[in-house]
Amino acid sequence: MARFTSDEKTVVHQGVSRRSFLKSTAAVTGLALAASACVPAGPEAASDMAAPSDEPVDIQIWWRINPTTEGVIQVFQEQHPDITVSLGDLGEAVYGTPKYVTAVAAGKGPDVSYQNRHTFRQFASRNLYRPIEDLLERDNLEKGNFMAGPIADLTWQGTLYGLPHTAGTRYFFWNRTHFEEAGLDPDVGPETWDDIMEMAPQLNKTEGDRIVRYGFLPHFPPGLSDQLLIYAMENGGVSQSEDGRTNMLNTEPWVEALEWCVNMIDEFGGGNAAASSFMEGFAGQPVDPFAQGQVSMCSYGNWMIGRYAKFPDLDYDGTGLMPVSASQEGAQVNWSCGWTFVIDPNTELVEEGWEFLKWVISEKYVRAAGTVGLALEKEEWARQQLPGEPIFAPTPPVYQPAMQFMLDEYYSVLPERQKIMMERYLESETFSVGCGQIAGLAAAELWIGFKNAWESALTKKLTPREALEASHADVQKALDAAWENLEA
Amino acid sequence: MTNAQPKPRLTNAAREALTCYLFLLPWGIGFLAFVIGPVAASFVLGFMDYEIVTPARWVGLANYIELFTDDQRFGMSMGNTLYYVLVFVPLHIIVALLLALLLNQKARGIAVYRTLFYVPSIVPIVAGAILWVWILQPEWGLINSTLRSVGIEGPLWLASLTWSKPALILMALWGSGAAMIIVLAGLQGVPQHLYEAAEIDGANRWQRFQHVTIPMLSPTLFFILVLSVIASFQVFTTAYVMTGGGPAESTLFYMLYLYRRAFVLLDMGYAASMAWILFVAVLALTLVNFKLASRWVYYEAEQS
Repeated sequence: MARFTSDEKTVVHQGVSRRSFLKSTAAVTGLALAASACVPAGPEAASDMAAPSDEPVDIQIWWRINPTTEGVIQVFQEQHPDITVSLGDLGEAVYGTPKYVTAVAAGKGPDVSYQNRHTFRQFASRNLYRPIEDLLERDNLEKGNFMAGPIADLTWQGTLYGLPHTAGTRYFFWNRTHFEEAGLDPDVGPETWDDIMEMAPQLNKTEGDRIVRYGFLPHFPPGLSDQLLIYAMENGGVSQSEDGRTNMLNTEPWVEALEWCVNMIDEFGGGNAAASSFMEGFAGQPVDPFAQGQVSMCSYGNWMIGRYAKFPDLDYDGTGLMPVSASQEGAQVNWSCGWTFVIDPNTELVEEGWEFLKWVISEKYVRAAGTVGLALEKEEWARQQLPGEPIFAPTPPVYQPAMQFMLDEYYSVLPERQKIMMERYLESETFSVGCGQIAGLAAAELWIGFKNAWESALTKKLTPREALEASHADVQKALDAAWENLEA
Repeated sequence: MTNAQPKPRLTNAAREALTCYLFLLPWGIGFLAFVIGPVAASFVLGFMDYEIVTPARWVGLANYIELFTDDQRFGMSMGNTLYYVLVFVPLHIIVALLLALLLNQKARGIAVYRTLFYVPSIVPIVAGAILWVWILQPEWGLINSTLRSVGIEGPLWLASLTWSKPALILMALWGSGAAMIIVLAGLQGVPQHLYEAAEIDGANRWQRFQHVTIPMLSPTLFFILVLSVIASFQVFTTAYVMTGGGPAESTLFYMLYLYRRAFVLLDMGYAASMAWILFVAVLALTLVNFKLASRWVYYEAEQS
């Protein structure tokens, strides 16, 4: 601590006394606080006011922040000099969207946001999105020009609440090399569960007691929690009644599907401990065991068609026609989901937001994203020193003109195998059920219910029937409450 | 004739007090707006059905009644949390004490060792959690690989119903460095003459530890106990990042369930009532701790 002589104390005292120092500082602080309270709060307050016509209007968009989105936003701004974009990250948004929900509830949501369709109807029913029927009609955008499934997903009580951006279905992959080794036809994948049960043991590879290559594991990919849904659908299961008021998780198709999965793991996967241990090894890794040649058949998503191409040793094939149980033989089964753009119900920048929505579904966006994406893919291809030209299969758009552009520009130049696989995927979109329709009004509880039932049955904490009964009870309770609130 | 001086409107003391309050005002406003306000709001919300995006509706005690009579997960998550508290807190104190005793030795490079043991406690919790997901990985994780090298097949850890909670506890113990530093400071404050007196009385090493070190450290250990109990009841991040509450909800801790109700299922009123139950439970336990402290915590000042 500094020590002052009596003279110095006098000087200090005469210069600024403690009291006057305190007083003046308090006064300055008070004034600063008062002044700050009077100043409008920057961009948020500014967005409430009508913008001068010669100044670009800034809209806030919550999307993903990555080189592709940043690149396409740049192109959008160049093509729309009257609009600038503040890009923000949406955060967790697949099985719920807490950041968006709380922001909108507080009246501070972004003008435009990316949303998944897993929970879309639940949030649309709670007025979290602006209805866009009026804008669609005014600008003559035909719903018929979009894939039918995503449009149905985004429609609640006859009103459309968002524009679908991308789509994707489940996809069944197999390793052609493994098929050949096992004496199976590499051009033909399994069409039924019986086929899988026949092929899986032939494809399994063991070292001593240990399975080192799995023919098929139902809990694929690692960490995904909704696999149960596709197996139940393959067995004729539906998640809710037609009126959306009764949850169906405890019905026979679901119980049989979960029993089949548990049996598959017990019979051909060395039991849950071994199989889970194996799969856990890949959780959080950029590559999965199919890509590494350690699983011969798997049920994953169409977006892996392009990604698996980065593994030169992997000779793969696949279909969007999922293998079904004996009772469903011949049925075309799949479910589809994807991303959507919505407008905040409270924003005043509807026109600018709508301009972005129309652009982001169009071929202009596909061209911009393709240009940026292909450049990145080339860099990646060079970085990994992969042979040949990059195999570039971007996420499929949902709007027909954009899809046509995608087909002409990118999918048509794919290698023959990937081109055929893409065609099979597009075919599967025509018979898939959308996840928005599957999930209904208690969507968040339903996705948790799938996970709980799956884990409880696989770990033998509960039998498949008990596990599904428990999940059904949870979801039904949430569903009843949702309807009650809606009708109140 | 007298020159009547005008009487100051405020005395010096009053003026000084006023200035002091002016300085406190910004903090006071912040405290009221961002702490007391939300706390009071959560109390009121506990009696409401409030889904964030719809207007709140008064439901009286319905949330509390449902919690205690019709919500299996409330009991399950509280059970998971109690398990965590009961296993983690004693281990945490023991590990911190043992490390502090070890690092209280006069050895070459001791400052480096102290730093090394302290570092994990300042690693951001999410980064630490992701690191531990890899360490606990059953196939090729560090722990199971080491166990396998001596012929032991390790468990599934985070994928096992039995081992998921111990795995999270193990990870939390890795961050005992902060408590270790506090105990180390306590150890260095134990007067040397007490050890000398005990030695003269014929006390062996264990007796000196038992009758000198522990009593003199008891206020420090009590401090760590109280803080650890409170923090353990609020365990959230590791489970959120590493297991998401699984497998089969074996790591669905109370705060994770509360978060799920509030921000995934948008049941904010229900979550608010859960928060108040936790608050009351932790407050009660802390009061019990303070009540029992007089039986084992030694304060030199009180004795003198």
